[in-house]
Amino acid sequence: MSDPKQPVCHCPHCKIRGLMGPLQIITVGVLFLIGEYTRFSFLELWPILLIVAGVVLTAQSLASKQGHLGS
Amino acid sequence: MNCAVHTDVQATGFCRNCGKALCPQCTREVRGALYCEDCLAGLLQSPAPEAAKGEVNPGLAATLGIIPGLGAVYNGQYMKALIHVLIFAGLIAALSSDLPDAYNAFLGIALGCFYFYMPIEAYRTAQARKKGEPEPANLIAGRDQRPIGAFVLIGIGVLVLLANFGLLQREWFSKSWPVALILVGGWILWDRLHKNS
Amino acid sequence: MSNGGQQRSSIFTGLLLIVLGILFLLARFHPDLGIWHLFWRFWPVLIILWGVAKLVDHFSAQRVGDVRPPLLTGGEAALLVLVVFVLAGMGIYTKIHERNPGLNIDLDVFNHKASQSEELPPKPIPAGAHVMATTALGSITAHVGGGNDLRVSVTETAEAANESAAQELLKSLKVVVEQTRDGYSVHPVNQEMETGHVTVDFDLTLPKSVSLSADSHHGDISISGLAGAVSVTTQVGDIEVHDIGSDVTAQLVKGDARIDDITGSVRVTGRGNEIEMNDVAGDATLQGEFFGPVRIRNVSKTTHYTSQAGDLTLSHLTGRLELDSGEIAVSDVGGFAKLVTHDKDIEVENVAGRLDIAGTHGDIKVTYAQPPREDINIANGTGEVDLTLPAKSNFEISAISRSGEVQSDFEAPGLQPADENGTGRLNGKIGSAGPNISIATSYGTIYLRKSS
Repeated sequence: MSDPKQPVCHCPHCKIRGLMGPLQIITVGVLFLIGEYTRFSFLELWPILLIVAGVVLTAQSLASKQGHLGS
Repeated sequence: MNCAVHTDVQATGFCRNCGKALCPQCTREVRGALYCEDCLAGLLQSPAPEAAKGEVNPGLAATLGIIPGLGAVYNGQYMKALIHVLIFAGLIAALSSDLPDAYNAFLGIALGCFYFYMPIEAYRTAQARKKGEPEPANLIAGRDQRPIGAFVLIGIGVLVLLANFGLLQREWFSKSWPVALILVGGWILWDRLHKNS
Repeated sequence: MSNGGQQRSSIFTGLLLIVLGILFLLARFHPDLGIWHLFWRFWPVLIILWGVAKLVDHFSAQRVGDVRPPLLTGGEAALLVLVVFVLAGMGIYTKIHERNPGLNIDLDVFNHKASQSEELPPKPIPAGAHVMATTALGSITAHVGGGNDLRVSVTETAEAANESAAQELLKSLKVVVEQTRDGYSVHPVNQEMETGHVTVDFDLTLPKSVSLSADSHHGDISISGLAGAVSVTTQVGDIEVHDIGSDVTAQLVKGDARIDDITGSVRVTGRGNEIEMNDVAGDATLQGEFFGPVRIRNVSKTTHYTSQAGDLTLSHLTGRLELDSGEIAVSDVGGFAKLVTHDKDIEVENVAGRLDIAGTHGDIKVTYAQPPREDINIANGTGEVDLTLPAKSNFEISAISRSGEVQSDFEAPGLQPADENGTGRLNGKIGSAGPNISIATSYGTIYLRKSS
């Protein structure tokens, strides 16, 4: 479903944007492990996901868009 | 950085479509957007197939996307709509059946993410259609042109198959799936960080 | 040559998410800070901050030469939708929690369960003693076994955030069988704790001549075979009581109740769904609001039903009383029958004693297979009255339908339907020494039919 004609942009803005997915996946995994092996539970720690998202979005909005491709 | 064609001349811009560095001689500017000659020719010869660009409403697409499949239908992507509905129904069915806690936890998260993802996907597609551009890269297809979603699905299938044949203990799976999640996330992260510009 | 106008994503979204995340964490781990209270009072500050962030975006964009960000970006719209959903979800959750205090939403996905079963040492129990079994969450089953002991079988299922917490809960849970003035009390200790809760199910085996009180806030109760009195209380749960030699009392808030074969009186109060009572040797009393079908059959003494739908009293019900979605049906009453309702349709068959019906808006249909021997009084508000009597009946009738009409199959010199200024009347007599029949309604038609 991705368009072969359109290359992926590598400007700092888009690079940071691409980190959101993997970082959230990792955070979910880490939070579940913490929930499993410590006295905390995932249900208590989920706001950390919001914080991670916020950090990535803030970094993304501060990054320059130099060399940006596409729209 | 120097121009891609005239390698001794300083580049003053980049092609919006292919990213090539352009010197003043190579630059073709259309309404403030810079293109190289090849890309401009390509765009002119195959005009964007969009019937009525102004009628597309991304906000409406996002709202409709809350109902499984409806967002894709709005964007005219009927096959995708069908796939969305099937995935949604499949997740609900799996969650209602009597599976051990670990599966339920994973499926619950998957359902949550999927549900969140559908309106966003509809919105981005509608936005791209509005501007007359081709659809944005798909999360499942992989924005890095690597079908990450496909790999994950195959991986899950293999694991469940092994578990069903007793080659893999269920308890092992329930303990270690967060680790698997971290590994998958780490792989994608490493991949994206190490892309060359 | 510039690079063309570029759109920058707003810095607001990112910062907001970080702040929200920190707030939620603080609210959970430092409840003393009163975060929710703060949020409740200062939420307009968020709107102000949003405006300030937009201003910052606007001016910084102009300075750098980028295109002005739009008033509401797609991301912000999505965030608003998400916030609304979450708030609505939390609101609904709180509402449900208020209405069902004993209800614990089962988030099976994240909770761990651990369970164990045990048989408590049997306790000798004298005849006629009273046993009280209580559980906040769990089912109670009681039946008769041979011997003179109270035997208790317990199943405990703990639910907590993780495996170790669940095991902890099981360890701290105790089931107590303590001696009381007139018998025993069986109940758990440490059933509901901060870290989670334990579902405690009881299975009691009792000697026959014992009386029992069973109380479960959230769970089903099933009791059979006892000769002593039975008292059952639930908040959310179904009740089944069979074959009891004495009186039965049941109280529900939400659930069904089925009570059969009682050699005493039955009394059911509260609110619930389906109620079924069969074969009661004493009185049967149902008081409260029950939404499902209500079916009461074969009550030797008096049946009382009191609710917002109406008041019914039936003496010696050999047939049935059924209330189902707006209709009341009564058949085969050996004594008298008195029905007062509001908006229900009524169908009554074969009442041997005196019949009194007072309705308001429903249709009333009364049938007799045998000629009536006691008086019949039917007062309706605005509805039909349809009375069918066997051809050989004797009676004296006085019927009036204001702004309506009266039709009669019975004809006699003294019995002719009359119409006075739009009001139908029927007065007269058939045979001699028959009972009095009085029917009144407005706007509806009165039918006096003859059956062979």
